[in-house]
Amino acid sequence: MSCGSDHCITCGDDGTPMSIVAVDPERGLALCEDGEGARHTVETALVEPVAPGQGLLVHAGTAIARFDAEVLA
Amino acid sequence: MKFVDEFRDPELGRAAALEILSLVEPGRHYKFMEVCGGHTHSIYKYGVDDLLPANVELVHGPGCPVCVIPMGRVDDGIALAHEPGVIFTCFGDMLRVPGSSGSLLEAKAAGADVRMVYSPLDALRIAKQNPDRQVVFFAIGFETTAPSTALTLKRARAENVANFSCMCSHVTIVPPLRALLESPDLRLDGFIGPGHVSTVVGARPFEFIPSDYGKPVVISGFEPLDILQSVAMILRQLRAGQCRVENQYRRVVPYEGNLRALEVMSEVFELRPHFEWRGLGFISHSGLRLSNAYAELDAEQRFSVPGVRVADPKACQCGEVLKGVIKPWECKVFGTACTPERPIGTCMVSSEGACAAYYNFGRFAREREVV
Amino acid sequence: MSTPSASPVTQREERILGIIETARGKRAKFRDSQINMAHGAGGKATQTLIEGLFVPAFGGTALEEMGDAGAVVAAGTELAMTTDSYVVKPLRFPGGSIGELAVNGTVNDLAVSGARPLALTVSMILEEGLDAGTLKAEVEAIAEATRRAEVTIVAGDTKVVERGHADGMFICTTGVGLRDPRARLSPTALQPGDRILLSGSIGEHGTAIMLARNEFELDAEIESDTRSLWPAVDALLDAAGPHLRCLRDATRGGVASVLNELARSSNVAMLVNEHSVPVRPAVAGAAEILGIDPMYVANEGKLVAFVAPENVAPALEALRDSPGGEQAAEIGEVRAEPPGLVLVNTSFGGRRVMDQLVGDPLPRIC
Repeated sequence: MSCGSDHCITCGDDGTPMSIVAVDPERGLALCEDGEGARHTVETALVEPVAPGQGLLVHAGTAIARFDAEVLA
Repeated sequence: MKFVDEFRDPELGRAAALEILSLVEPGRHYKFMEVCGGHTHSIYKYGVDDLLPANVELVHGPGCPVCVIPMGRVDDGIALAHEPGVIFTCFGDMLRVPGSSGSLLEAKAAGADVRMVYSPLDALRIAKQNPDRQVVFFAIGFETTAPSTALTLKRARAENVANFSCMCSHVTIVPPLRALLESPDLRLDGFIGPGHVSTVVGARPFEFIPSDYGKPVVISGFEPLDILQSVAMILRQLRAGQCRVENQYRRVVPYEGNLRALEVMSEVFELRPHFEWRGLGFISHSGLRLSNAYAELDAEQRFSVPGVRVADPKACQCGEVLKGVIKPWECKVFGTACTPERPIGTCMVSSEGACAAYYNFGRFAREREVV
Repeated sequence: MSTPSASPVTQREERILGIIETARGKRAKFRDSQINMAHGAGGKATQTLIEGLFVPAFGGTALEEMGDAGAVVAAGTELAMTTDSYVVKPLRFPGGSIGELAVNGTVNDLAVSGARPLALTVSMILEEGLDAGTLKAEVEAIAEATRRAEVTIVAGDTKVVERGHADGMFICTTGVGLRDPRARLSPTALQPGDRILLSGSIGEHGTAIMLARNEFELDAEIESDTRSLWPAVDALLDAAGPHLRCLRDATRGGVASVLNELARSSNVAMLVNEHSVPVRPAVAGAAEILGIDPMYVANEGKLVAFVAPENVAPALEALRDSPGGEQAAEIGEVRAEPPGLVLVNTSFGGRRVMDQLVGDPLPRIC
């Protein structure tokens, strides 16, 4: 989207770091939260198994990677 | 915010900028391409190029999947959007990309039901909410986005959402890079590799760049500090006379990529023999379509899509601008026939494209060089 | 700088830059074949429509000024007049509703043009089938907002259109205000050295609406900031009257659009310090996920004030003491070069251009 503001987050290959609040294993979804409290339902099939508290990289509503908490780069 | 704040710290940024300054050889001009549109955006948003020495130039690469979609493909999408009963869904930026006669935004104004979504799952949800309508998702993007589309298609099939289909225009990152590198007049010293594509494909697919073409690649994160660190890593390789693939973005990019994502993609998609890129022409094995197993969800099979082919205007020199051979203002149509309001090539279509940026901010950039 | 061998290229670049500048300086021409959503988004397309079609056709000096409200002189009394339509969807959203917005929005256009809001007319376009309870709630919201803004409704109109021809209801309000003698405001009055003040945290209204539409599986606690800005303007005029150059409410297109518009009309540059722009964390978080910059997001109760440097402190204090202004801040200053451009010192330490909004895929928000 527009971004300025005519910048589209999906096409710009943006990823948002989010952490898992709750997991819905039945539907393969997780409720995630970014650092400032905004929440989003996220598809987790590509990064399972997942657990609350974990850091995910979310793109277009899908988690494409898990943050490795051990690596600081 | 964890994983973010420390990479936006201005103190660390200044330190990285100083390190870069210590690594450049005075008198040498460096040209690095950031392949990914996401990097271009971060560079713009945080003013990263303003922190680089004047002899380090960043060239925006072909990694904006919106702007590389050729006009004919946009025309096909518009034709589909006008089919009776169709709800046409796509990502926001795609709405403004001009086809040969107008954009999807204009198609919407003309009565087509075009809706913006943030994720393919949103499109699937619209399909479930409108069972009496045909919902088409216009899928674009590199390997970062393709798994999300693939999962959505799997879900659509598992949940029997019969009124959902996908017009697949997904592209792959390696073929256009190879095409750029094949060009004899290429003037690039190294590549800032696409971090989020790499979370999916891993670092291995980029090994041909150092091995076949002798250019360093550093896979980079998207925060401003990530980009500065990556520039420093490339400079260090150049100084040491090395050339290899390095991973600056280890916190999310495993060297092997995301195997599950690759598996889902290979189940749902197959390579097209060739795909056309705006400004770059046809590139072999650079686009994805739905595999036979998913043919029933393929909008191009469900509807009759005209399959329009619109040649890029001859005068457009986006290819040369991308390769760093010419500057935007050296293009024959720049600023006259090609403007941000009426763009011709990919570099003018995206507000972050090299030509649009120069058109809008050229005076500012020149002032900086003087200072 | 220039060497003989480089001069042909330099000349060519110079010529191209000249062509661009001429093109940008020209009044926009309206050449589109039809109206699309971008024409209503407050960015470049809106400007093209206004400058290229409306102003040339309607003329008049009040319109030429392109303020938020036009001046009318009646029997020696200076009045300000403005009108606005409200088509927000959904009708109710956290922090407000269409009725409240219809009053505050028009009141604010008067206030920032330096006029004390006096009276409104309200015209409603209702969709066949609209729930009576919904209508009653909006009528009550309008009444309550007029009480708070201390304006009276002096005339109204009602039309009903067939089902499907309006999203529940559209409201159009027209406002009349009395020019305040303390005010000397003009969009062409900005001078290098002037300071830019912002009356509070930004991006709340637009983000609240986007979230209330439930189109994205995204959730955050954000309320619209809709409120009357007259108390803030009144306090500013008291504190800095003749040193106030211009005021604008940062609605569609956000603070970025206000700055760009005024940089053009006063032919000055602006330099904004990103880290001094107040943004609530919830808004910053949602904006990050949606890929938007809060500087471009609509507000319905925030103003941008341009003040001569000698009166910054009292002006800022006045803003902070007015309702909703606790977070008011000085966010930057007016510069001479490069004219027409808005520059930002990013919080990361770089500098970039903050351009006008080109398109707008965002949903209807006001």
